Amino acid sequence: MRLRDFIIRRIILAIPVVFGVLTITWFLSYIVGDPLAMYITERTPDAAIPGIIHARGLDQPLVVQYFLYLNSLFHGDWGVSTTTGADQPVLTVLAAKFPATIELSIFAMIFAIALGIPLGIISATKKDKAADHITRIFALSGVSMPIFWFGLMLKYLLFFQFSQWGLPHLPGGDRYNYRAYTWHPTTGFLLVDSLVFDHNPGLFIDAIFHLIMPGFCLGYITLAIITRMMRSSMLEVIKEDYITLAKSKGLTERVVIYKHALRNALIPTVTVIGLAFGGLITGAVLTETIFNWPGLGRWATNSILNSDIAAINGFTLLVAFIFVTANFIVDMVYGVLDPRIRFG
Amino acid sequence: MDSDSQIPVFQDEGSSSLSSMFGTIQIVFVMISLLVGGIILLGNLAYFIEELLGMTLVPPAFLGNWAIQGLLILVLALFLLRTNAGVMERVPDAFSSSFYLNLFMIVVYLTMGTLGLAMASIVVIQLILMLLPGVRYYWWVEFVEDTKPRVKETRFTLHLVRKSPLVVVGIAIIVFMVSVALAAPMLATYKGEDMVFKDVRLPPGSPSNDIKLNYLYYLNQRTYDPTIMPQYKYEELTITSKYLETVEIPRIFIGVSDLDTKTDAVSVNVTFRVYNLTQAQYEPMTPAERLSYLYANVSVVDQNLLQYITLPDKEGVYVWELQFIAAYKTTTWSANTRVVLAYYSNYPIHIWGTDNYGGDIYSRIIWASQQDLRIALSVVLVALSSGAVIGAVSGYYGGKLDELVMRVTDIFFAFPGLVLAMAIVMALGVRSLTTISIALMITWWPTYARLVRGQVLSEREKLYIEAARSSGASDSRILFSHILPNTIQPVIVQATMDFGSVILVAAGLSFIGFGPPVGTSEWGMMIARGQNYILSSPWMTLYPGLAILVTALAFNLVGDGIRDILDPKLRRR
Repeated sequence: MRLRDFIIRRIILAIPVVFGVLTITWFLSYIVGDPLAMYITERTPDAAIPGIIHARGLDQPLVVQYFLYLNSLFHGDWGVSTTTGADQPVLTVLAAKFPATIELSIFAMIFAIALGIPLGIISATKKDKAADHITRIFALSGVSMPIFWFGLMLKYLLFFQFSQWGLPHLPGGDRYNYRAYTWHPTTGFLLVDSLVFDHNPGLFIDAIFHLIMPGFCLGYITLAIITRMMRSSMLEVIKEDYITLAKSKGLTERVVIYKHALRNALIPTVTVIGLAFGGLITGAVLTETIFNWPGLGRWATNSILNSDIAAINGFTLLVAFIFVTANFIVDMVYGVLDPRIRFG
Repeated sequence: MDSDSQIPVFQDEGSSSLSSMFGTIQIVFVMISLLVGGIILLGNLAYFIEELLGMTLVPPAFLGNWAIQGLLILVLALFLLRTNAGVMERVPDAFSSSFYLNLFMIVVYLTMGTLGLAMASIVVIQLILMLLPGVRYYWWVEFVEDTKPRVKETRFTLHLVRKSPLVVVGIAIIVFMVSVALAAPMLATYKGEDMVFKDVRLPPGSPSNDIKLNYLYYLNQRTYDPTIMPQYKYEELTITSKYLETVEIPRIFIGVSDLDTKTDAVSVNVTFRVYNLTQAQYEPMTPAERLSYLYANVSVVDQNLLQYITLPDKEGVYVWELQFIAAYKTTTWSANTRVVLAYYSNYPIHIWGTDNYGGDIYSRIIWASQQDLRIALSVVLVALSSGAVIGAVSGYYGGKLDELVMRVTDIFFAFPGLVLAMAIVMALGVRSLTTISIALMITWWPTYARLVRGQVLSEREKLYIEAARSSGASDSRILFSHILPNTIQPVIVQATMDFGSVILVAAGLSFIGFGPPVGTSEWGMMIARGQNYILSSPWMTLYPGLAILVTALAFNLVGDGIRDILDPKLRRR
């Protein structure tokens, strides 16, 4: 199978999933919940409600309602959210909140990859030695860590206790120091804006400092997953014949590990990284709540507390699409990295 | 080895009447199960249709919760019905299939409250019947032959488990947490919902600032009833340290008041006496004899209606006695009188501090372990059994059904677990731990369906299945008694690790506000309570979080270790 056919096949396979996702959100908000809740707020006058019901087709049969729902989704009408204070279309809010979450997730991901892959390699090459056991317990506790608790504890230690002890401490929340700096959002990505558009290196450094703690907290689980995957795939690869051959040729351990083994061991790890990116967006729900991060996750939490159905629906849809896209990209990368998949 | 010595025991005749009795009971059970499953499923359907039509009928609670279990029971009961035909013809295979199916049934029913308990006990009776010698004759020997290699493997696995320290530590922690949850009433010093408002946010190890009022006797009577308002009332009083450790002088209060006027102005004379007697000594005596053993007495007469007796300051057994001596015992005073006999005691020490409502962290963590482990258990059991059945059927029969099931699981995999669960809870609209576990069940089953399907697919083509098929075994027999037992190992690993993840996700859901609004102890909700006070009272957050971490870590340690142990590549070296 050529790469092009492979991609087309994958796209065709993704279509029913996307429709399934749409159907599930429709099912949840239209059948289990109250469909009207998506389109009205406390500020909607009572007299307007029959009009809305009629305009939205909520008095039509269910099948018609389903297609009307799909139609409005494709036209960018995702309902009205009240959580930000004013009545805003969900899509507008999503677009406004999205960059903050993505910035945090990418930072967490960089951190997880930069630490996770070396840790996994060390753990595999020093199998059953002290370094391996420590890394394994570190990774397992990462998988079992309630990150909302971890975040709170980090905040208590690194922000509060350090400042009590007079040590340099990290900021306890927010994206940047509102008092010291001003930011004119252009793309919404603070790191990009501060350097490229605002020419404000102070803001950039401040933003980096604000990213460290939430990034570490969010990335810890991913770090654990990557470490475990790297370790087990490295162990698999080391047993292969070509590694034995490379060693018997007299190559140094370093060259064997980093030139020959690493590249092949990376393939399964790439899959995990792609899948973990979707998980990061989920983790952001909890982390952003704790670190007062003005992104999608905190907005979703607030909308839960406000029973803002349209917001939850929009958030679910968006996250599902990110997840599907991430899976799709993983498949592509996998197909490129490992030709056996394409022909299998 | 063992079975060789046991075989002579089995050589007694099979009793066909017993065996047909078993068959009949099983048929009845299948019918009841079909009925129960059907009612639950139809009830849910009806409720659902009512919702669509805009009617607002409140369904009985048991209908709302068990839609998935209802479906499972229907499926299992249909399979049982088929095997039962074999049982009637004394086919040994049919017996062992129905043995496995019944085990499945027990698992499903145990998640269903009292009704489920009743049904599970019927299954237990069936299993006992199956094991009676008369019925055992028909299937036991073959069953033992079938399972012998499996039992041997399991023994070897247990041997490996004992040699792996991390797994042993994990199992020890799990056993510890489960026994803490079971022994919660004994271990916890407070009730889970208790709030001592004088003790808000005390650091760990603080004594309580409040004293607790304990009632020995409490009469709050609006209508006249001579049986409730007796001439006199006595009870044994065992004075232990809890009576004596108050911050004030240890004493017993007697108070009388009028319920109508809310004042003490009642025309009543109540005498309160404490005797140096045990109840056994007290009862045969006449009142005059008792007086010589009197420890103290106090009369509550008109206009002076609150009195107390200082308690003896050593432990011992006494009898207290109340005498209601009215100058005129009319219906009026006895109908509107409140008589209270009470003592003060200290609240226990707050070992791990208190939260912002004065709840004791230590006790709440213990009570919460019940909630969290119950959520994890029910979610994993339901997701596992439904996922396994769906995955097995879809993998075994293949074709269109398989394609459909796989596309559905694809859709479920398109959502991250927490987000889908959030949307489901939001749609269900009720904030409670039950809703959380229902949402997690719906989120979790596809994992098992995929896993079991893959296993079944690889197992289906093996030679022994071919052999079983050519010897005329039925589909359900092949599926449930050959394929499923051989696919169980990865499922066990997955389930063990999922216990940890379910605890994490459930705690996360209740942390962001999906738990019940007040009261209930649950680890995630405790952390949610603590987050606003993290800087001043970190103990509110620290201990519940540690509980989650340790429990989840234990399950992951065991799951991770078992995976290595069961891995055929690493197994025998």
